[in-house]
Amino acid sequence: MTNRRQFLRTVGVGAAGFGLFGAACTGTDGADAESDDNSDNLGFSGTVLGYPLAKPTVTFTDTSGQPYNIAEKTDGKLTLLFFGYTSCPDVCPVTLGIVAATLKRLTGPASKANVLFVGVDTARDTPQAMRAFLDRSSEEFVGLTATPELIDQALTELQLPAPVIDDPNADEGYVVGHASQVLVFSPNDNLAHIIYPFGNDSRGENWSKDLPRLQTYEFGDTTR
Amino acid sequence: MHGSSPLVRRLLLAALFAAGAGLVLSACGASTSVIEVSGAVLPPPATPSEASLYLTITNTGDLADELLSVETDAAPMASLHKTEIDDSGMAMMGDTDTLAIPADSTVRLVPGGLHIMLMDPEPLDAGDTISISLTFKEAGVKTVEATVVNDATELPS
Repeated sequence: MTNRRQFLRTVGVGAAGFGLFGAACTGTDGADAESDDNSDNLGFSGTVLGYPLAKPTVTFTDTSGQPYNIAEKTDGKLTLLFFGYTSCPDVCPVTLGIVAATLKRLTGPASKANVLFVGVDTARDTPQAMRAFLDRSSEEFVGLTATPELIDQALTELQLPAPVIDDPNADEGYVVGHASQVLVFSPNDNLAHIIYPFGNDSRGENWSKDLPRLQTYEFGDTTR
Repeated sequence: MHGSSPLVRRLLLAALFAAGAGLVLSACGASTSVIEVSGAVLPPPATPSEASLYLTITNTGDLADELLSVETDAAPMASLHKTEIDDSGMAMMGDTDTLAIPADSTVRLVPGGLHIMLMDPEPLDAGDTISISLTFKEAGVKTVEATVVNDATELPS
C-alpha cells in the first residue's frame, strides 16, 4: 500500500465517520415527536445519511468497454451502488446474490432497479472477470472499472473508505479490503439519502420492503 | 431369580451398587465436549475457484473445544476464514488457523464473519449436497451434509 493510498484511506474513513456522526445527530435534535421518523431512519432498514450524496462524477468503463457516466446512465432511476472485487468470496457475492434474488421476486418499477458494481481490484477485475462474476447473480447488473485514482476519487466523493490492496505480486494471492455498504440513489432527486451496511439491515426481507418504497419516496429536505 | 439364595441376592445388589457408583464417578471425573454441527449451507459459488460455506457449531458439553481443520471431498482444500468489517464499513478477509468453541456455547459461521472457504470446488448447483468433515481437538471428527441453497437470501445471517 502506498502512502497516498494510506492517506486517502485515512481521509475516507474520517469522512465516513463524519457522515455517520451527521446521521446520528439527525434524529436527536428537535422535539422527540418530530424526530421519530428520522431516528428510525424514516422506517427504512438502512441508515439515513446526515446529508444526501450525489452520484460520483467519475466516468467509468462498463464490461462491454464503453464509457459509463453514472449520472447520465441512471438519471431518474432507482440505483444501487456497491464497491467490491471479483475474487471476493463472502460479502460481495452474498450482497449481490441477495439483491438479485430480491429483484426477481419484486414486481413493478423497483424490480428494474439499476445495480452497479465497481471492481476496486483493478489488476484482477477486468471487464471479462466482472461480467462472469456478475452473471452468476444477474446478467442485468452493471460492472464498472476505472483507474485506481479515479476509483479513489469516486469513493472520496461518496465518503466511503478507499480500498486496501495488499501486494498484488504475492505468490499466494492477495487480500483486498473494500467498502461493504450499498448506497441507494433515489429516482426522484438522483441523490443517495440512505446507506445499507452489510448484515442485519440488508437481508432479503429488508430489500423487499424498502426498494418499492424507495422507488417513490420523496425525501424532500428530510435529511438535510 | 426364584430359588436363588440370600447370598446371591446380596452379591447382585452389591454389584448393581458398584456399577451405579462407577457411573456417577465417571460422570464427575471428566469434563466432555459435546459438539453438534448443524445448518450447513453454501450459496452457488460466486467464482469457479472459491465457495464459502456457513454452519453452526454447538458445544453442549462442559469442556472447551477447538475446531482444528476442515475437509471435504468436494474440494482439494478447505480452510477457515474470517471477514472483519470495521466502523467505516471496510471489509477485509483473513485466515483463522483454529476456532475456539467454548463449553456450553454456540458459534455461528455467517456471511460477513466466519466461513469455511472451499478452494477450487467441484461444480456445485442449487440442491446439491456435499459432505464436510470438521475435526475438533476434543470431540474428534464430525461429518455433516451441506446443501447448496438456491439463492443468497436462504443463507444464515
